[in-house]
Amino acid sequence: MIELKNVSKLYSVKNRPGVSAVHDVSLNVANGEFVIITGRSGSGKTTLLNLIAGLARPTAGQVLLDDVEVWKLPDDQQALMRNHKIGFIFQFPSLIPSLNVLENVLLPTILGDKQDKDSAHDRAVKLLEEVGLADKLDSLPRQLSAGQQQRVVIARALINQPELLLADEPTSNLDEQTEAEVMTLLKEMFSKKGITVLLVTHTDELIHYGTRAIRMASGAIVNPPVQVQVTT
Amino acid sequence: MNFTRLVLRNIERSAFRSWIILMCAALVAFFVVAATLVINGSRESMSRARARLGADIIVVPDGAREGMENAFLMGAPVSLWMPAYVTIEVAEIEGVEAVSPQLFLFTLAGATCCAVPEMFMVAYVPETDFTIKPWLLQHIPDGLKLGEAVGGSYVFVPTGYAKILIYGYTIDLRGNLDSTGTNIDQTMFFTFETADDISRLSEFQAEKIMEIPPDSVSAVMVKTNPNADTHTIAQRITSTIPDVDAVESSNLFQSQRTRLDGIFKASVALSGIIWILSILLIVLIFSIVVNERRREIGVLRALGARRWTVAQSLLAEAIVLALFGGGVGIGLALLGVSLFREAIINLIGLPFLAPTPMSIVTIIFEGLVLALLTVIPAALLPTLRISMIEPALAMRK
Repeated sequence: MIELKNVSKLYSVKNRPGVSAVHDVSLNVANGEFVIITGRSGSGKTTLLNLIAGLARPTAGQVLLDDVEVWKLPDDQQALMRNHKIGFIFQFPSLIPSLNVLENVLLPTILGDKQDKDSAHDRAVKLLEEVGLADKLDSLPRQLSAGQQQRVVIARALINQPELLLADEPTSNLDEQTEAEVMTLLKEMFSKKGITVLLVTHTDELIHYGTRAIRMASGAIVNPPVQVQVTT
Repeated sequence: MNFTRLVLRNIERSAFRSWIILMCAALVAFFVVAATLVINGSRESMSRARARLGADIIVVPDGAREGMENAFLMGAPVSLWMPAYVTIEVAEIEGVEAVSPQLFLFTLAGATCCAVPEMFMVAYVPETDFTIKPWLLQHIPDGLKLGEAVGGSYVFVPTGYAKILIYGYTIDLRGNLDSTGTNIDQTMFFTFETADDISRLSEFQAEKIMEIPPDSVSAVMVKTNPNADTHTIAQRITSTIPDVDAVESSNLFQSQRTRLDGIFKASVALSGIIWILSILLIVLIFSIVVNERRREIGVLRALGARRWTVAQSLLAEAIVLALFGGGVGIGLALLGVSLFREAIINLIGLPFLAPTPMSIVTIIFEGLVLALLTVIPAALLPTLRISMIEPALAMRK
């Protein structure tokens, strides 16, 4: 599903030498994998996720999604690809503050070219039921706890029935108990919906939720691969 | 949930930004629309007044040109008299096709004998008149008789009276001329015969006599031959007849037109300054807002928004604010100009005609276009900059 061939990303800084965020990374992720990418802060995990999603342009190398080179697509098609195929969970609060829970979940449906509004609405309500927020449809993000907000983000990420879910430190702002709840939810969604998941985390404690783990340091993948003991 | 709702929610959310942009659009629209209403109305007034006077040349006593213009435009009382034989002398000038004398008279301000406030009155000779004759032929074919008059559009019989009372004399109002926006709208026209009758009877019926010096006229209206050069004829009149001024119709209200040009230039300059300052302020405000929403825009791009969708959403906010602000500005301008019409006329010293419904529609359209031209270019730069940025960079703090 995902293929990275010798991908590098150099961020240019004014009047200074560029900062290499990702360096010569090659990676294959097959359909149905739950890959955890770990590494310290600044190791290039988020940049790698952004490169896979087409949110950052690689300085060198190729990023292929379903055998299509992402950065060879025009902006319109890149955007459609993200809208149809990829669900995002961000590290930072990413809900639109002025939209209520239901509207936030429906947001990706108005950005794409899918026109079936009734079924999108039904799907959004069902997803919010699945993440345990059926009674919060009209609430605004500020009326929810951090854990509840992240559940809304998960529902939003799944609204267009993506093939790939990219999660960037989805539990970094949550307490231990909420972190476990969110990870369990993600794992459930992975099992039930059969989607491919790439999850970035700075801690090794979440590795056991995945089917494979990759460690990054200084913008490169560290070998040998991390051993994963899969939870059930 | 749809795109429009997202746009409206964003407008609500950035209340301060929205107010500033709305105010800028409103200010620009208000100023330009108000200036357009006054300037266009004033031009139209003078043009209609010239057409109403219906003469190619007006001969008045030397030095009385401005007084005559002010009487017609603003209703300023004036006393112009010259010997009646000037009419014959003018008629004999080469190139003159027709002449008709007129008397310029005023009612008494606040006198108990008069049921109307101070009013300008013009007496004409039915046999030679060509100024209001075309209108009379169309509306009152038998012409005005003794004791009858036609008035400008604002002349009416006061409540409680059957006729108009001036100098203790009752006048039957037979009809009203079309509006010009000038003092002609408050002018009454009757024959020399009626004027003489009022003057004669005022001695017994009024607090003050309406004086018409014997064998005198106030002005001579001149119609030139179709092929003759009006300017040459005017020069011929002034050089041949002593102590008169021949005012060409095309030069009529020259000092008022010069003043209007000055007002127009000042308005254009001020509008330009307001427009540029508004654009700069909107660029600043929009840049701040776009920067505040940078991460959110990155998220939208990640969720599948095209570059154009992001730009479209921000521009849609700008358009909604421009149209709303423009609408407010136009509404206030129309209301303000209508409510303070008299004050504006006194301030600029020029009359102006109220706009027609069709011209109001045009002005509304122009005002909205201007509001859009203020907000959209200002919003365009920050919008394009943020929509072109790499989504990952947009999401970085």
